[in-house]
Amino acid sequence: MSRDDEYAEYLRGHYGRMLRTARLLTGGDVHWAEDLVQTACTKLYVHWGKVRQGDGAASYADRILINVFIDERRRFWRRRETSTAELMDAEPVSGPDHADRLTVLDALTRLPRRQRAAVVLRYFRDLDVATVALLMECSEGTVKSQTARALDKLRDLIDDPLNNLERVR
Amino acid sequence: MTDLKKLLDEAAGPEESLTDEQLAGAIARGRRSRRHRGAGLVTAAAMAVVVAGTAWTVWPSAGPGGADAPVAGAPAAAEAAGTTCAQLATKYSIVLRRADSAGKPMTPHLALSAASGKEQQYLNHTSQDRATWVFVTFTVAGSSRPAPDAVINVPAPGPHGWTDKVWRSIATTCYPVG
Repeated sequence: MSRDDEYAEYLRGHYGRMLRTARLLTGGDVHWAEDLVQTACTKLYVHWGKVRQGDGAASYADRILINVFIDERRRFWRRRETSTAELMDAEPVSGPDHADRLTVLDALTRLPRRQRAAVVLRYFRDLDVATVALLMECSEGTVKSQTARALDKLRDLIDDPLNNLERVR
Repeated sequence: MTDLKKLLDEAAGPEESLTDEQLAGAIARGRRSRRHRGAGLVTAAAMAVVVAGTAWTVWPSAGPGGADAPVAGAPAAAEAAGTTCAQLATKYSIVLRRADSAGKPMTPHLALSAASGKEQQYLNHTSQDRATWVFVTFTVAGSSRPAPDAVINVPAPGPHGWTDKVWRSIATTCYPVG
């Protein structure tokens, strides 16, 4: 199987998961989420030879995604909004309860990026503390503290649904 | 926790599959990025070679024999090349001393007196390079006279004198052991 075939096979299996993770990271900004995934996929392709040998494509792709998301704030020239002649809003993603969805996404956008990433990786991706620490390139203690702070904030922001939110797993 | 997991799951929206068009785009972007990265690496390597070459040519201490250069100040070309030990002794007054200025016996050491007499360096059992603070230990030959015909390449002493390496070279060439 050629390099491109392997890469394509991987992407077919994981693109959806990456995009969903990115949507949460960006607080529901569909375009930004697609940008993040696109950048991550490009970087993944560049390093595919190394990743393939190590069999750690999923972990590597996650790490790229998180790094791109966290590091993006350093690019001061980035504009999240640009003026265009036509409206280019994407179709809202359909879901069981649109109001709840918006509340959660809005609450996520109010978290600092590292806290957001910690919550998404821990509770959406179901990764343990050690793996999240590896992905975020920080200590396990930092992951725990970031997660705890994020949960505290989320409790304040989303009252009812999170009343029985577990503190830190 | 279950609530949060469920909420996040719903908020993330449905899982979309990758279209062929998106896949082709991802591969094309990847290839382009890989090409650019390769070109960038080649450019960076070429720049590094140019910078190193320039430094090698312009900066004397980076060139061959740079470590032997004086601690400060570039030597005059004529002084840096082929000097005999006798010339050295005449020009820089290299002497073997066995006592200090008060006449107290000392371990035999080589001393350098500059022409002006203001600057002196000592080559002792322990020699200290004042510029780099490196300590070296070596034995001085018993002879009190330098080998007159030995030729040695030494730079002129800089403001901080000669380095230990130069001293070592003088000692082994002009005052051979044995």
